[in-house]
Amino acid sequence: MTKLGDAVARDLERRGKAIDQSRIERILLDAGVSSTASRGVPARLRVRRVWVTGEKLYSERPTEETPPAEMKTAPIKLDWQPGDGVNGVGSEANLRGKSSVLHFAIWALTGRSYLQADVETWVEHVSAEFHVDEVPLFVDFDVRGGMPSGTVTQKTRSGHASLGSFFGHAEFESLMGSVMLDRLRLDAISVFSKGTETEHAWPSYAAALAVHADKLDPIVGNENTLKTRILQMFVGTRWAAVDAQVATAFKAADYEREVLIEKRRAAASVTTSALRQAETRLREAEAALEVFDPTQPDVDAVFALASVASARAQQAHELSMRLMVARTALSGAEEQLRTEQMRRQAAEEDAVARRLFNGMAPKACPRCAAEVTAARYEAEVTAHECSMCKNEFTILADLDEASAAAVVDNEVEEPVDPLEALQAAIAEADVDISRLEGELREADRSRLDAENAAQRGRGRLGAARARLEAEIDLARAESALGALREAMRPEPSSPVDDERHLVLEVASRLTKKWVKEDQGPLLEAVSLAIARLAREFGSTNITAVTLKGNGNMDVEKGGAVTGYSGLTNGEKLRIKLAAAIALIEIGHSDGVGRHPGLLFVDSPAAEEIPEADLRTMLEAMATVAQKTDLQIIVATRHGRILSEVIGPQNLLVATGSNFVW
Amino acid sequence: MMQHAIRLLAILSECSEPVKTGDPPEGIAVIRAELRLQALDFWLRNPDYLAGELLTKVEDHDLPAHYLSVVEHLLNNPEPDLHWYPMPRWHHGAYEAIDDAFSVLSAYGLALVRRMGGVQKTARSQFFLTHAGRVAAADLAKERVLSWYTEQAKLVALVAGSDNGSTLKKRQYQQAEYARTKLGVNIAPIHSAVRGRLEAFRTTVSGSLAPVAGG
Repeated sequence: MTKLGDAVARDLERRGKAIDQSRIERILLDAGVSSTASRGVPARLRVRRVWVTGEKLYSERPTEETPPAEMKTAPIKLDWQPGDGVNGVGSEANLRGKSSVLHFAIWALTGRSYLQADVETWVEHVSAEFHVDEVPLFVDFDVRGGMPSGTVTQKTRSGHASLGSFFGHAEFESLMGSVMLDRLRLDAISVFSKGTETEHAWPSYAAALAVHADKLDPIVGNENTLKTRILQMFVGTRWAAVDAQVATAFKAADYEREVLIEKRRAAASVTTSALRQAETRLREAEAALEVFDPTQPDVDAVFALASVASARAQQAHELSMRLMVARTALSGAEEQLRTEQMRRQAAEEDAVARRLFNGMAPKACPRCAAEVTAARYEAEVTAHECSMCKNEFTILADLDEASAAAVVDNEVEEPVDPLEALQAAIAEADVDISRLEGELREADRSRLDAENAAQRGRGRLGAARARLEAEIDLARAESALGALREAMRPEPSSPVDDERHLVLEVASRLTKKWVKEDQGPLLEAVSLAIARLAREFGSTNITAVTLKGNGNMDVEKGGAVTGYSGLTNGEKLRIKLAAAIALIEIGHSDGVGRHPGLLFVDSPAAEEIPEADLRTMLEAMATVAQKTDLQIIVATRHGRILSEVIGPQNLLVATGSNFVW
Repeated sequence: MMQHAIRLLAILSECSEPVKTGDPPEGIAVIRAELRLQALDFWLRNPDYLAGELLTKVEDHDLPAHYLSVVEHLLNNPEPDLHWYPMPRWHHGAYEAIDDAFSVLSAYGLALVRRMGGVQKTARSQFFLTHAGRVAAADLAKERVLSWYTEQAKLVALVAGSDNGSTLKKRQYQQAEYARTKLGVNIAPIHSAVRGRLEAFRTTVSGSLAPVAGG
């Protein structure tokens, strides 16, 4: 039986809603709620050594743009062992690595790097030594290609015990979380928002150990969503952790219930007429689909038909071209045949005419009209001379002999009668043409068939598309009706869920009350300390502050009350620093709280803090450190002031334009 | 040239007119102008044009309808087509020099030419057929290979009638293809046009006769 379970049972009984206590305990256990509360007892975290090697790339004139060729390289040699109390890291020039020293330490402490990307690539190895309640922890890692890999060890009496090794950022962060949360007695913070539970762990706490001059909201830590939880944890409120667990579980249960209520609301909003409309729409869609032929037209087949039609058209075209060529050949052959026939006709007529004229006796010379005498004509036979022109006759026998001689000399060729050859060519062309005409007719018929088939296919394609649309309409109608019916079905209210919600609601109310009761006096003490420290840090007009449980604050300044957000940045910085130191002080003096007593302060003088005020703050911090067990590491450009206020053993200061490392 | 001489002999024999007093005593028939001789030769050498003229005469009822079969024969049978000797067109219509061919006829005493006018410019040439020419033309009509010319020349005579050369030229000009032909280019055939006319005429004739036949 737990105190919380018992309290919830009694509360419910008083309200007449009694639930069996074992059932209550089960609900709380299932929700991940711790059985008992524990008052925070501070553990002490200290940075004992930061050792970094690598090679840096730098410019002699860091404030000006430097060409890559003029950049210089130098080895990184940082080996610093900060002491207790206030430590100072300083340089006289900017961009000389003072903030990086803080970041190296935080990287090794949390596994999460906040270094500038270029600086990160310069690093080759990091070794850090931390003490938790005087127990030394060693973090060693190499950096290759931006990826850290290394080990975490703890010093034991017999030597070193490995706590784990890691490769990569995620493993590094996870390992450091498990090592540190446990040792510093801190709980992971679960936050439930918009249906999702998120767990914030060690890096969120570690971030709250740093005060950056350019990041002053909220008062405690660096994340507004976590400020209440971190404040409660650091203040040491007993029921804070349990309250956080109950609150998260209750929010989750509440969310589930809201989802359920939303569903019911949606169901209630569905009217009968809407359902009837959806049913009508479904019937119409079904009727529209029935119109279509269930045999599915094949889209591929349609495209194949179009392709065949195209091929057939091509074939028909080729045949018509061949037919045209054949017809041209026929017409050429016919023309040649006619020419040959005319030539033969003319030759025959010429020969016959010649014979006819040769049978006649010439009467006179057609040129000079001189008479051709009978004696001259008769002498043609004996003298072999033309009776008109006196030229010698060519004897036909001689010609035959000459032709015969030529035949002997030349190769004998098969005589080809051109007339026959031409007639054969024409007959052949005729056959070709009639064959091609037949083929073309067939090809044309085939082309037409293919085109008709393709056309019909296209028609079916349109029907297929229409059918598809009808199917989609039907699916939509079914889906709409289904959704309406689903929405109308009343979500059964689970008695188990209701019971769980009720238990968690009561538990949350109780833990909140206990947290408030418990932390009230603590917050009062912290508030007094904050006001005192803020005045010591130079804000002398702040007379009082009231830190509230939700992380907000009222500030009395010059007789008026204002909120934290209404302060100047210089005042905010002082208040924030004062709040962190106050939490450490209370932990130290009263032994209550969970702040590990380590504080990083980055560039405080950057925020409207005059040099004189910085000195005041440093002196005040040094005074606090004398009576309070804490370690503060301050990085500032005002190295000279650091040297004047802080002892040399706690200093890491670069002079002139030198690097801190 | 011999062929051309044969054509001229056939034309002189079939298309000439009787001689008159004052003509050379050897001449027994005459063609009194080269223009007429050239026009006659054109029809003899272009059976499609001759067919067109015959069709016109049938259309005009100057010739009986049975000549339509002659027209068809001239258009469709191969023989007339083998005797197609295109003539180029010159200023005076279809023309081809006839001197060489005619000299063959005159050398054998079958024909003679008489020219009127000066040496440089002949005003008119007259072509006479002799008695020997008449005998030779009769032989020609009996010769298997060459008798075609005689028969064709008879059709030319039928078409030409007694029109002089200028009139014949005008008639030939009326046949569109002839007129459209550029100077120096062979006169193109008109088969298809005449065939069209023939078919159209036959359709008209049978159409006009149908009611009679039916009644």
